[in-house]
Amino acid sequence: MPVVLESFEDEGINITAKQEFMREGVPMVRQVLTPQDTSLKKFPDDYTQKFVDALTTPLTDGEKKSGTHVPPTNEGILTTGTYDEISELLEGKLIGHSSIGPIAEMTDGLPVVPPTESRVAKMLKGTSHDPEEIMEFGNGFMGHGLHYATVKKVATNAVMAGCKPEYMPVVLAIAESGACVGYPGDSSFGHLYIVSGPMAKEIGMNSGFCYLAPGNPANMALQRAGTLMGINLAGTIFGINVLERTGPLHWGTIFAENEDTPWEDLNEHFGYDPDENILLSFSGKVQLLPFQNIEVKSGTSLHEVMMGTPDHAVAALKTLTNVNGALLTLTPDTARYWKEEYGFKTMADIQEYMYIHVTWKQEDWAKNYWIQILGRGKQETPFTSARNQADYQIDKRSSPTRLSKLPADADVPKFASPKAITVIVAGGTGNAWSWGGAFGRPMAYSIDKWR
Amino acid sequence: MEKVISSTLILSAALLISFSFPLNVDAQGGGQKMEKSSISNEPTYTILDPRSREPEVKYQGLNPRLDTLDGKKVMVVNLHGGNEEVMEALATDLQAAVPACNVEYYAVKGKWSNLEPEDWEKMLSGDAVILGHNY
Repeated sequence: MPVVLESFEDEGINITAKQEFMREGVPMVRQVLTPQDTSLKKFPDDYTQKFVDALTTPLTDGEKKSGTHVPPTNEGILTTGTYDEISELLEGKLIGHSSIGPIAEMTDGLPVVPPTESRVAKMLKGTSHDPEEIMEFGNGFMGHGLHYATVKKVATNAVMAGCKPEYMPVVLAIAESGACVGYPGDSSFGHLYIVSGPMAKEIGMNSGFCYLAPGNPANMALQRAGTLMGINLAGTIFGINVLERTGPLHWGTIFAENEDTPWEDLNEHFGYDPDENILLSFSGKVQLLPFQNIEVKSGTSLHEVMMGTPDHAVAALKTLTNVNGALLTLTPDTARYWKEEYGFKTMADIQEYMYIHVTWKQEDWAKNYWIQILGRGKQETPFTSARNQADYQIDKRSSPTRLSKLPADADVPKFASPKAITVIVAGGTGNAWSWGGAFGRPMAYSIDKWR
Repeated sequence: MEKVISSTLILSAALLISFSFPLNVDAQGGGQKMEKSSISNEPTYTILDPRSREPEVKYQGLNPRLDTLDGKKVMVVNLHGGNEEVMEALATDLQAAVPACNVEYYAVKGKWSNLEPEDWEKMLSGDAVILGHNY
């Protein structure tokens, strides 16, 4: 049966589509490209004939052809040259979407450390895994088709990013998570990683003052490794298969949990031993905002405003339009203050408090597109993964059966479970907190398996 | 004149000192392949390819086109997610343009790229299919 695909006349979308057609084994799919105008009530008259032609014009020899597409293996040496010459080659000459500037092909747009054989060999000393062990990219929630990469390829990108060999287990865990691949469309999908466990301190990650700011070699190099692996190993091409209209604030941002916490560490919270090292990976719409950016509740004194109370956090989280998940980070001092003043003995206590108090009206739940049309909020285990210890079931109090029986003006939990709210202790001495939203629950990956 | 000589001496000394040490400590000391570019006398690097590989794909040619749409059933399928009403309008326009053709508009039941079995059944019920959602 002849098939014709209608699609926007958009350079990036069409290149993405052609990549996808090839992966699906039908590279020559006929398309009719229509005006990029969602206000249209109908296509211009001459477009009808284009659809007729696409269904009736005999196939060309190229369209009839069957065969095997053999992509380049990209093995071994890429080139030899001066620093400027290799920088120019890695940057490439890619023009992505016509409305943006050039896009670097094998870098994040900045010069990189040359990945020489000796540097890569040195990087591989950071793991006991076979350099030729194959990792698969693209099987996760977001990906740009399946790609195969070896541990050595991961090390190559780690070198480019400026990593040290001792970072390698974390880099490999980021790789296992699928690295930073963005999203084919939409607005602000990104990635956020948190390291929990003693290794964070061993490799010098920042979990204190300015943990989200530049300056720390481990945080910055690991962030960059996630970005470079997204490009080189997972096939991310900004402006072509990543067409985010704005882009996110967090693109591979990584920091460590502060061990100075009055509660259990995140690794214990998710069922790991205290000395186990894990990577929490958030992908999708991730935001983490300083509390100063929103007047959630006026205080009567600067002290009160600066401290940030649970009520402040509730008010802030209520403003989230994304109901899939929330992030709440507290400095060690604020965590202690919350424990002492409000009686939160564990992270689970805060999760429960936020779950109960961050509410919206039943009618908001009943008409929410993502929950009602796509059914995400109705799923028993949203984005479930049997391997993921950070996964959760929908709470009975949020079950569609219960919520659908409540009146329209009833206050109902905004999130599907207390576990949709991730509590993180990080930051320097003093009182501060920040908050944000996440597309869904994090995925937990073992770092130790990559030692 | 003295000032000029003095400046020249300082510059010469600085250059001599500079040349007595490696200009690119990283390249010299990092165990890299140290070839000199014949033009610039700069060190060169032999670097590994950082890219992964994609699997081989067996691909096939397209299905033959129809000689005519007259007497044929054409499914115009709205896949959701964009400006959906134009697909319904396309079905109307197509029917008007080819009156002898049987055009059926169908909006899939599945959401967000998931198709239900009845969607497949419906799409395959025609002699040709147009898929889209103007996005």
